[in-house]
Amino acid sequence: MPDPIRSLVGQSALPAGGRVYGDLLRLEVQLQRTVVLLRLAQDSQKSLGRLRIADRPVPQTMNTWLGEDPVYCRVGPDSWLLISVGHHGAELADAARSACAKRAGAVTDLSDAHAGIVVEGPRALDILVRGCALDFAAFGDDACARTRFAQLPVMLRRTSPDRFELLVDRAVAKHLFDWLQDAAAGLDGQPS
Amino acid sequence: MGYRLSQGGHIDRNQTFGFRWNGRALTAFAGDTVASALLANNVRIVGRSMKFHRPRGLLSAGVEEPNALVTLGQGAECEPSVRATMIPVRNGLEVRAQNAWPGVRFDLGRIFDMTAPLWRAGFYNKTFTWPSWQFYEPWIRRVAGLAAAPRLPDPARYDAVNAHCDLLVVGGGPAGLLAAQIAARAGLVVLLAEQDFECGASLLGSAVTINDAPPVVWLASVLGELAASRNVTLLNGTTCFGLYDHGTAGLVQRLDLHGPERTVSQRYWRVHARQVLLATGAIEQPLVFERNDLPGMMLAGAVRQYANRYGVAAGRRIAFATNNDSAYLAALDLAVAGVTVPHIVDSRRAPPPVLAGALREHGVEVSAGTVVLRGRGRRSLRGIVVSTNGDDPREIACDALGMSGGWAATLHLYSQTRSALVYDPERQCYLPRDPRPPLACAGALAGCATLAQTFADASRAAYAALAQAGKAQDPLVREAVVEEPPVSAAVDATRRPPAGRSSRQWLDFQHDVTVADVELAIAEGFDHIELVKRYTTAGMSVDQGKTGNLNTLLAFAELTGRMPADLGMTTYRPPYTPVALGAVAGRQTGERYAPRRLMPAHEAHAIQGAHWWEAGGWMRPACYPRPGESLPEAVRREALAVRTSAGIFDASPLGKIEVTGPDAARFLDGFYINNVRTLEPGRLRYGLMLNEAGVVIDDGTIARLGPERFVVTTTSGGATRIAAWLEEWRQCEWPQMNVFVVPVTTQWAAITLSGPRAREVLSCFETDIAIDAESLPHMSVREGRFAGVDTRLYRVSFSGELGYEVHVPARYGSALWEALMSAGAGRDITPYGIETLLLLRLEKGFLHVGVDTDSTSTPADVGWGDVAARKTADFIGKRSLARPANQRADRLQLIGLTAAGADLLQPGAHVRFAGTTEGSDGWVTSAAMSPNLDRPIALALLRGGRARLGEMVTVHDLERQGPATIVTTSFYDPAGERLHA
Repeated sequence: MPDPIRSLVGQSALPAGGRVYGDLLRLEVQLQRTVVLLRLAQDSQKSLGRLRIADRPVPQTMNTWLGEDPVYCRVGPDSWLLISVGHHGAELADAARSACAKRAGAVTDLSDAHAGIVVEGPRALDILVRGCALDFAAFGDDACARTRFAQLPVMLRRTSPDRFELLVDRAVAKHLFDWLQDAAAGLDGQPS
Repeated sequence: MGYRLSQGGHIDRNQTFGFRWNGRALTAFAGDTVASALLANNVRIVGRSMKFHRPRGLLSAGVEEPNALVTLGQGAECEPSVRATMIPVRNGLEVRAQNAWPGVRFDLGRIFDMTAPLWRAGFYNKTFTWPSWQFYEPWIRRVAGLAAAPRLPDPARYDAVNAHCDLLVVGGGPAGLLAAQIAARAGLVVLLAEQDFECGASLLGSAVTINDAPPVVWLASVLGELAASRNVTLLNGTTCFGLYDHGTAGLVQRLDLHGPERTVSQRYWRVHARQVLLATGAIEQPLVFERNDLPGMMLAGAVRQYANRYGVAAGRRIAFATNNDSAYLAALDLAVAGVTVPHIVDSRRAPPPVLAGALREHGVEVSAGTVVLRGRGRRSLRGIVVSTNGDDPREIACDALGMSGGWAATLHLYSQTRSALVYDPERQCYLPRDPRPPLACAGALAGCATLAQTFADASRAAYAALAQAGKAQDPLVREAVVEEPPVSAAVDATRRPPAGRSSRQWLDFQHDVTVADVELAIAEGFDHIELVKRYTTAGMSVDQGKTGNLNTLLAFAELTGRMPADLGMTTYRPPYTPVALGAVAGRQTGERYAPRRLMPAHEAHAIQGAHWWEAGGWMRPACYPRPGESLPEAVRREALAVRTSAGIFDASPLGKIEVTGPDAARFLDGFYINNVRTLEPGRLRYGLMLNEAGVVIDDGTIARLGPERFVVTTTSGGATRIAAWLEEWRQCEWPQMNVFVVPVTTQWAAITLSGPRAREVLSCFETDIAIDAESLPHMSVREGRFAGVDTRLYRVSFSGELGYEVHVPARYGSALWEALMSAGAGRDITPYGIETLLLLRLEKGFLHVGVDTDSTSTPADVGWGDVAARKTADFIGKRSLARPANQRADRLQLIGLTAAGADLLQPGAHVRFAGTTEGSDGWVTSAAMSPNLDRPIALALLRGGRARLGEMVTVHDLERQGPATIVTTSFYDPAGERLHA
């Protein structure tokens, strides 16, 4: 197999770089990113404040995230997603296993199971409220949540007032991207 | 004879629109509704009633309109059963009457009115019993209903949006607007929904003054302030159709009311409100007398609205009839506007002195203690016959009648929350009592009769909302000073004259329910208002009884001598007004109806000419037909290739769940009828999973990668469900177990190689996994490097041939497919699809859960009873398997069938044993023409089938029938030699 890394699903069907709607909105597909799921048993979460993975702390507050690259998101009582662009899945998973060696838990590299879609711009919220029932007034710049968006389970992360990242199952990434484009067609801006 | 007044109204007389009514060109002004425009153009008959096809005119000017249901537009854009009172006229609008043939002025359906005694309430229950209901049903369905739905795909675009707010105000009348203003100034996030295309409600049709100015001045000021507030969302043309628990509301906003230029025609709002204020107002009720449905009979408030808001007089000579004060205001406004108002008849012996005096000053005769006995006219009103204090009847000539039977609080949304009601004997209607938080009520809904009362009540409700939200500061809203005539809320109990034919006294205009129908219901023993509602269908049409429910209730009370307060109101349910299905569907149409999952090698399959199937939410190749090849031919070719050389199949949708931890084996042992704890690392085992009732819910393989690491596979469609099932048991039932469940279905691409040459193809690749038969026997798994990629290599088969599944991270899925295709090119490799795989597994007799099982199938029913019985450890469903009903010999059991006829065996065909002449002894679950056996084969669930091997049965497929033989389920290689090659 000379060049095994060819494509993820739908990559050729998705517009390279996403779509830009003037200054109003930008949709960007991010396929090559590392996603590692860390699960820790409830009784293994003592001194969570001291837990550091790859020298970075993990968030203790539910539905918040910490860090730049990697980013750690607490998405459940016993679940964290470790997301990175610069770290390989195996590398980040090993770091997590090492940090949690004395805790009961599971570390799973799910990089290939996910695709990221960035929704950014002054009209980003207009798009998001069409697919998601979360109250974005209470969803700050440090918030993340596993939720449903356009019928799909997603992990939603807000990185600034106008920038959101959707982490979605790779198999439905094209469906979600098409959905977002359809929702954006209702905006006043025309696709560039 | 409706006509346009020379002045007045909130219409723009400088902007004229042309529209068509039943093909006839008419004109209107900007600001007109279809209804006001029809009235201004003297269109009296706007529709035909649903049952009797009686001619009907406008009754109201608002959402309660029961008669003027019209069809807008043509072709695919046609929208039926729209209330003409709610649609603003626009240039070029096509409007048609409905439920009439050949036309609304002359309708042959009137025959039903002439034969009305035959069609009384419940007629179909009594009449259509012989020979059967089914005999009549097709004919009834053709003539029933109000309009025809368009048959073409709806070209409109619909939008859906979620919104959160501190306060949802439903109703943009004076109460709603003032409450919204107070709440907004205090900083609450407010969403106000008004169903009309303009806010204002009663203010648009009244002649009061607010702060020494016409109400429109106050209205403009408040609307301007709300529109400029960043914390306020003001939605006109938006109906709250449903109110649900915890402040959740469903709203539909019409964006196409002023033309089709907008991209989106309707928007569905799912609102999550911390508090909800209902300011939905009240609906005037008709009086009940003989022929009270003639065109020209209108609600008094509607007559006033048409005059004051649209500058339209409902007739040249308008009389009024009432049992309360409010009709006096309408009569006064019309008289002041110069319309001839000859008479107002009031059932009360003491009419309001100030209002009566004012009317008399305008030459209007006021008759106290007077009731209307009947209407006169054939197709429209020519006069009314009245009687004063029981004296001889006399006639009053008029071409329109404004009637008022009091006001019913618009309780529909309130009632949806199941909040308590109380009957107010003074107002003769039910009112809210103790709204369930977070709900509150204000204005006419709460019983306010005057604008001053409404403002005071709205302020109270708004400040209560602020207190609830913890906003203590005074929002500095100046109290409006209102000048209005003195009006009492009291309503006279007289609503129906003592005489007249009850079969011509209409209670529910939209469903053609009369007093006689209620009499019949009572005579037949229906002694509860909910039963009367269902027997007569009063209030069950699309208007939800907005002008009929209260009259039906009061008529029922009167006829049974009971107090209305003892009867209770019937229950209202969503939607408050009809909602287009498109609005509910939103973007979920066409390609976006449901998410379609794509496999990692989707494009590679497309290039190879895959014929797609949607299976379990995945887009999967059914087969790969070559040019000129039919689908059955392609499946046959592929199936033969797998049996003779090598086939390649994309199994990526196969559900995959990793289960890890010290208790993983014990945990999985609780789910499968098969023993998991004895499974050695590197081996896999087929497993059946049951629910608590012992019914088979899924199957797959259990692979043990290490002492504490398992990967279980599930059916493609069951992947999400089974992962959730495992997780639920982990969290809720067995929390003490140290185990973790992680779904990894889309993390891994899975490509299957099957057939005698499968190993040969596989051996073309560099790998550290030994793939010879001895090192990697059937039902084993290895982890290693394959073609430079971390791989899980399974030796497993669902086709019955030597088989391998190569699992690689999904990013390599497409490359792996192409590499295997390339390596197999010289070895006659053939891609095959899911249809071919299902044929191969049928030949082998492998179970397809959900197809060869139903919701009662136990392991024993499908041939796995011995395995379940041998397992000593407990597992979910085990206890249920011991129930006597699950051990009966005549249960549906999976068996094989063969037949001589080429196409007799079809899935769903029923099977009878020899000697059975009625009913069914089972049915075919899977069937195909086997290319490898060259005969039709099938699996079937048959009662006690396994004890009947070798017997002949009769297969019934639609109109055909023929013989078949019961055989074992494994048709091909029953010894499994090919699997172990």
